[in-house]
Amino acid sequence: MKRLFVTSIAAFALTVLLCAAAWAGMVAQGKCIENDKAAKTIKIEEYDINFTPENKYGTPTGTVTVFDVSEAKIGIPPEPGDILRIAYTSDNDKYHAVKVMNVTKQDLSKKK
Amino acid sequence: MLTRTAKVLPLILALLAVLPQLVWAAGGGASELVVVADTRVVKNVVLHYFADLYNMNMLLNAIWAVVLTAGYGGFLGFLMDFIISRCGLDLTKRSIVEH
Repeated sequence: MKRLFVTSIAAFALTVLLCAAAWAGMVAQGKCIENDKAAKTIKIEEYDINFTPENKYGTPTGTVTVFDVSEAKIGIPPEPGDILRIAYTSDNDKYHAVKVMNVTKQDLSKKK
Repeated sequence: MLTRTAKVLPLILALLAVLPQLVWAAGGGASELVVVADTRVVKNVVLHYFADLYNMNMLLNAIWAVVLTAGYGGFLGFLMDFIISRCGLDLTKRSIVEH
């Protein structure tokens, strides 16, 4: 009985960990250059994580990335110039956004 | 008096039911708030795991929340049992002591 219990717990933990590994994603943050609603893509200029008082969302890297947002959960509609934070997965050099947060219009740090 | 109130009451209830819709009509549709955890700045492996889970799989995140909450509840229960037993109270016996 005890062995069955331990085995069940171990199987559950393994399943949870494997599921999580399968869903591992990445995050990009940057300035929205274009929000193409017809093509369902968002183009951003990526920022790094060097946060300074002048660049509180990070320093621009010059890297422009296009995300497919056809299946993404999008918050406040992004406009060019907005800072966006995108959780995404990638396959064959294509980036598929899962969640898009409009940091500029949803700035949680304004209260600081 | 009661009859008059009974006649007006449905009208008041209907007005109360309609009021929120009037407020919604005043502004545009509210956007859904989407929050993405910035995993780029999270160095701790465990925190990174949970932040990533929050971004990518909300269902698994909710399952973890339930499991951890249950685990924490169990921990608090056993801790309280231990403290009570150290106080000299034996709650495992059902004998009632009355004087």
